Amino acid sequence: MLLSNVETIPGKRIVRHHGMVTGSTVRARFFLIDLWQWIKGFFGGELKGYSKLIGDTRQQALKRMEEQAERLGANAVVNVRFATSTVSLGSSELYVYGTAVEVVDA
Amino acid sequence: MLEHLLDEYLPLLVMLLGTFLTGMIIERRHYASILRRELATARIHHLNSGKKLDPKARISQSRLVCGEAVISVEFFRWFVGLLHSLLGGTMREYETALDRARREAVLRMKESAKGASAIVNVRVEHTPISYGLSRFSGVEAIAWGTAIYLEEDRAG
Repeated sequence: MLLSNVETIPGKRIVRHHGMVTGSTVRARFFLIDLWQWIKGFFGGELKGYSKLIGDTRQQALKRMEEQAERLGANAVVNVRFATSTVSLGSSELYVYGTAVEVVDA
Repeated sequence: MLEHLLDEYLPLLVMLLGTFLTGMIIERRHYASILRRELATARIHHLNSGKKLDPKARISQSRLVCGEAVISVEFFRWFVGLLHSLLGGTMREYETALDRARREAVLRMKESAKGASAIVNVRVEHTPISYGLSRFSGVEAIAWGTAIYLEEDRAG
């Protein structure tokens, strides 16, 4: 599955559009990690535990979007965008959306 | 009287002084690492234009790249921010935290695009995060873009 956030897949030609595909995930970490991040946040610096949380969330959301595109018979997703929000304390929501297309070599 | 006041506010003063020092040291080290890594990845240009690519460009490969970072706001900074929000004016203490989160996210995106010629259409988005008692205790930033590999780059 080819992904890009520009209007085409560079070097390829779009032959068919399949409409918008989306993927959304809400994830949280184990509560002891939350506690440790809270203690670290008191003193400042990067919260690596939460950086990892966003990374995992992104991968899962992208996977869900790719699965949806696959079911439609697409082989690429263009114009991919992300939107994030914090639903509740210590959890992260990521919403990813794009246009599923079929591309061939130009 | 003074003794009584000191007794009452000593823990707060110790916490403020302690987190001021840790925050300052961590920020200084983080900025040093950001500057060093920005120089190391300066070869890859990243632009936030390029939604419509020149079809004549000889691009062999492209890939979506992302980077993310969560930077916390320590107790001292939060306390100063609280006072600042009452008095008004520029909140410098938050500006550096936001700046660090965004630059770190962009750097991680660039580091995951090893060997690319450029990253086009870069977008950065951030969300304030809160946990515990305060309303603003950190910021998460996510950066993404399309890494492009030109034909001569792959050969070289």
